[in-house]
Amino acid sequence: MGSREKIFADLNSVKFDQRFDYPTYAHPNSSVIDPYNSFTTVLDSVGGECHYVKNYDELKAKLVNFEVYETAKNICSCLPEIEKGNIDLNLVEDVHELHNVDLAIASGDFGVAENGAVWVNGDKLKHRGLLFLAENLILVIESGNIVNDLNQAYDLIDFENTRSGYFISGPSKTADIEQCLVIGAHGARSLIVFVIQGDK
Amino acid sequence: MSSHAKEAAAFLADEERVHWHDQALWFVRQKRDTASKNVPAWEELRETAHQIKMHTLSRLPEYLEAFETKASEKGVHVHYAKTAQDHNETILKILNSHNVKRVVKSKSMLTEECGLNHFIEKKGIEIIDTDLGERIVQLLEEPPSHIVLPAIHRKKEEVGELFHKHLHTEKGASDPTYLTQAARKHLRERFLAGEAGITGVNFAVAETGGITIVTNEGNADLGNSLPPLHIASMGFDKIIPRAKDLAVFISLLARSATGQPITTYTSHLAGPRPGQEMHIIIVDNGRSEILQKEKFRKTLCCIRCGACLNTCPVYRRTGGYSYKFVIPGPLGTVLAPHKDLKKHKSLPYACTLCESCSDVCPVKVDLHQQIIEWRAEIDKQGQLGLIKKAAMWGTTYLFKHPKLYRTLGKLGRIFLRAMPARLLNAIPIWGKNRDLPEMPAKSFSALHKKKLKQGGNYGK
Amino acid sequence: MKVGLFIPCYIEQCYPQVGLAMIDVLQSLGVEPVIPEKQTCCGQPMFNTGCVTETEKLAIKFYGDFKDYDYIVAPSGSCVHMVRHGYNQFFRSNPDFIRMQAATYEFCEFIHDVLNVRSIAGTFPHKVGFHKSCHGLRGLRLEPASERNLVEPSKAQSLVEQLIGIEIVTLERSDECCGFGGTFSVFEKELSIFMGQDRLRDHQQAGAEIITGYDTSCLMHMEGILKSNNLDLKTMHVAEILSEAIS
Repeated sequence: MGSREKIFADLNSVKFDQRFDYPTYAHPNSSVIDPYNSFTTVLDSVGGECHYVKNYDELKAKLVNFEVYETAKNICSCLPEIEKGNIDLNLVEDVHELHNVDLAIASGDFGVAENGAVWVNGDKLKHRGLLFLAENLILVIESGNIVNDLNQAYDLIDFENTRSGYFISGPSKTADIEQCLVIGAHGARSLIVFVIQGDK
Repeated sequence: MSSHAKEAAAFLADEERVHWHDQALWFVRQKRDTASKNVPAWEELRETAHQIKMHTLSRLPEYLEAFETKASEKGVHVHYAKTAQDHNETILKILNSHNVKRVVKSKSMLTEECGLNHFIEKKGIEIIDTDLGERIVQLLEEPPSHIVLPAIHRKKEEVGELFHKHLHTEKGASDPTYLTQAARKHLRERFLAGEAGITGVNFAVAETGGITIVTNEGNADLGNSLPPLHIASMGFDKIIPRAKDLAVFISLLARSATGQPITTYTSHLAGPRPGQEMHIIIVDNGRSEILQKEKFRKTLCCIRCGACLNTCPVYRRTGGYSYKFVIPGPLGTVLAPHKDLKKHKSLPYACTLCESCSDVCPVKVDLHQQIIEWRAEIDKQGQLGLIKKAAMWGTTYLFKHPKLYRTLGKLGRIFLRAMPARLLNAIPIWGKNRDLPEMPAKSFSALHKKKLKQGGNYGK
Repeated sequence: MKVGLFIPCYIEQCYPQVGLAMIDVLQSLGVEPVIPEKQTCCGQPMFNTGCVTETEKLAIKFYGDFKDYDYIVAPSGSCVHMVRHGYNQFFRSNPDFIRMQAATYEFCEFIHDVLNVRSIAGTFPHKVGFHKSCHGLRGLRLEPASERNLVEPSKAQSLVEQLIGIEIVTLERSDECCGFGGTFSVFEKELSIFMGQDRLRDHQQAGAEIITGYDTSCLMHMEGILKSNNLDLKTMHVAEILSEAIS
């Protein structure tokens, strides 16, 4: 008998004396009253930054002043209307080529106020590894949508048709050395989120 | 002296270090408290999570099959491993079929449980742990001492020394940011050179055949987004029914583990990247035995957050190694005896039954209840030891005979009152630095009887 | 109502004044408790060691000694936790046994839940550290526990909080275990004492003169440590504080 057969045989032989029904649950919304404010506050507390802009023009105007943009030699942008960058993701054959990306710009579908997370659909990217290889990451929420909490967030995601999707909340970090928080572990060392609140 | 007590005494000898270790973990507990108090529905979430898990456990064959079908449809190679050996051999086979010589691995207590690293290394394949804490203990050649914070027992100066030796950082440097950046550079090279990435699984969704992996560092994502081969190991207890259930568990996990509202990365993967091969190994390794035992079954709800370790006053003051099991703390205490009751019989007694662990558990595992059950099991299997057994028989007999009990009590008090304090407190049973209580001349019953006799308002 | 007092073994033998104080306070509230003569022990040491058979024998005895009382009150969170929860594997088909279990209360809990008394008038001008013993705290929910996000009443600390002149000091860790843990205090001695020392240090830094609580076993353990280390602290059970306050 292979492992599969043995495991299923063992599992099928277990007797449960009572029923454990799947719970019907509906959680009250988290205490978020102003999702835009909460999102910014929480993202800030985890080492990220959030900027609300009316449109692409305002975003572009702000972008040029950011240090991560100014100092970036290699920019890979998935939003060419905002920034062309000098690395076209669609021309990259092997994800390893992206090892020296200083700044990546990608789109996020929506934000989550209770935890400062942005939902990024990895399927939109030819190489999802870009999100983690880039030294610095900018995410743009074009929809302007910030939901209150994970409960609302998971309702928005079509998992059946999503092969890879990420909640990204802030830059990578670790506290593995004597519980001292260090921003910038293996993934991006900074995260800036732009939320477009008007018509792009 | 019991095994844990011996280890404890050794750890406790360095008082300053114990306070440092205890304070570090208490700090994490406090962060967990703050985070949980920011979620108005926290207790409801815990109950819901518990119910979802128990429901799933009661229908495991059905959900496992659903997961396997869906995952396979999405292009995942699904394997089953009954034992740790099966798990390790399956992974080796997959690696060999691709001539892999360099593996990068993200945090997986399951792979620790199965001893994967040693197994793979012996076959001449390099396997690098990429979680910073795991990498530290890997270089130190010691096991993790905590399931979430593997190197919590190590000071930054020690890490500095270690990195100086292995990563050529400056001698004497101990700044965590500097050391972390050095590790980033060192591990970046490994990620880029890796031919296979092995990850754990935090949740496996039956409805979609997808898996969810959470990290702060981004190492799991680099590990599965760069190499052309991704292998994910999971215990079958990681299954949850629907994607929507993730809202409950992800809300609870990071808050319970580190006090963060969410980890930096919460990655949902259903199927391989284009051009990649993805494998999922579903492991038993004793879980079906636990499932069989009604009294211990709830342990399989565990989402490996480590909150029980952080709150446990014993774990904080004696460290992970005093448990001598891959997983320490209250969780380890209820898991270890399934593997070897005789070897681990001191663990259920390394506990004051304060019940804090059960109160912090995000999925309401009845940890303290199981610790009591294990004690009963230890007695049932005749492992209690003669001294404890005799003491229990003796005192039970005494308590069943009130007159004898009171007489002996009286004699005992007379004897102890007659002894000089210095001699009395040298009796080892109660301990150094702790005096025995001053024995009163009369017991409560005697005093009460006297008061009744004296009359007045007393006892009327 | 017929109230029977259960006097834990260490109060019977070592701290009789706690039992007497409890009677004083209950009498002041109009309750005339009776002390069943043949009582001995609830069986908790046996249960916590894993000796279920021995525990059952003492559960039978406890039932025999106390079944005729409307309420059973004990100055001990851990003993009451034993009766109300530890006994749950015995005599499930005996409704009177089950009634007895439910009718067993810890002293402060009895005053709060049954007598519906929320405060006791009295004077106690001292700085007091309140030790929330674990079994009473997380077993009986006598106080809100720091782990949980729930609004729950305080049944014990609230009784002493309103005494005139009292100051309940703020501890760094409001409800960490003192390390007594029954037989743990003997079989993991060094750790037990280490934990007790940590608790005492907390009470000291908070400025406590007296440490109180609803479980004498914890107080006995902490008292032993503070005496051995000549610390300027003393321990009193809540009943002793209330008894002194109202006298």
